[in-house]
Amino acid sequence: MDAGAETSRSETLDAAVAAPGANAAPARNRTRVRRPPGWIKRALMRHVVPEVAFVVLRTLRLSWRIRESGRAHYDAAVASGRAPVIAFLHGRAFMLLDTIRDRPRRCWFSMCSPSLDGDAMTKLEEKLGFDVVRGSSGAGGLQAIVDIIRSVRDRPGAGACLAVDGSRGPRGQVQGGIISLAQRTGGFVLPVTVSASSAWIFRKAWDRTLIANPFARVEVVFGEPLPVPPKLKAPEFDRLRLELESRLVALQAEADALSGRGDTEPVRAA
Amino acid sequence: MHRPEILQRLTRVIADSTTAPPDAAGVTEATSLESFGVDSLILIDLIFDIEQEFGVKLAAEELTAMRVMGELVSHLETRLAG
Repeated sequence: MDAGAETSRSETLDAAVAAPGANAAPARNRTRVRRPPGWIKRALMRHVVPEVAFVVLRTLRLSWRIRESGRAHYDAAVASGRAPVIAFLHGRAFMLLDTIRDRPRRCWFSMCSPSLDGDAMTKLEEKLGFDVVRGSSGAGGLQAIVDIIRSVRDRPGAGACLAVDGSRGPRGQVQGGIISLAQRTGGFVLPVTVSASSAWIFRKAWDRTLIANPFARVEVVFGEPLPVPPKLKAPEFDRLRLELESRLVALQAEADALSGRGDTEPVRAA
Repeated sequence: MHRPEILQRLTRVIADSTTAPPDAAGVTEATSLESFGVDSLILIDLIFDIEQEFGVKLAAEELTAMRVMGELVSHLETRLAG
């Protein structure tokens, strides 16, 4: 029996077992969707997707007209001789990676979740020159933050960058790991974001990933560094986390205004 | 280093990091780590404060698996002896 006949029979069976009076839509919903076997998906995510994403990102970036605002904040932070800790939101990470990598630093540490999506992102970031530590707010995140702190301290000139709204959201809500990281390394967090005059937005993704179209005007905006003292009690820690969240939201609005577009959805999920 | 000294220094380290600083006199090896209000982010502080105080690098998993001060004291005693 060929595959087409098999599919046709399964669709017929699905329709046949539908409850009496049910309309056609639920029957269609039960139609078997042929998904690639797990190993194919894993192979694609680990070996094909990062390669394609790398080429796409590099090609798109060549066509973008990139303008930077607040660059002085970054330059001053680096000139201070302390390890920079850069914070951005997940939805803008793809576009910012190459921009951050271009900074005159020998080594950047970042964190990717231990999921299959994280495998693809890890490979992409490694191709871009990042040293990736695996972990997320849900799994191994604590150890990952500890590992990044130790790595940044051990490598003079190193910095760290993190997408701060968890590995799975909620979008725009900053998790505390970035504050701990800054406490124990450079003593400040530098927020950064990006927007574009025209872009694709992955509307079904929790983070609403934004990727600028070819030849778009891209606005990279660095915010003022947020100082983080080495010792913090819980209320102060939380105040700084919320302060960073507010600054990232405001920075996003600024970048969107500069680009004349951006995302219509609020940066911070309700 | 003897256990009472480890316990005393550990109590001081925890007092610096936690939201519910312990009453040093009342802390014994049976005192629960949870009673100090240790959450995941304070754990990071503790890991580095312990490293600074004792020169012992702890993994996050090791620390989260410990329930009472005595377990942490034993762990440090072993690492310091090794």
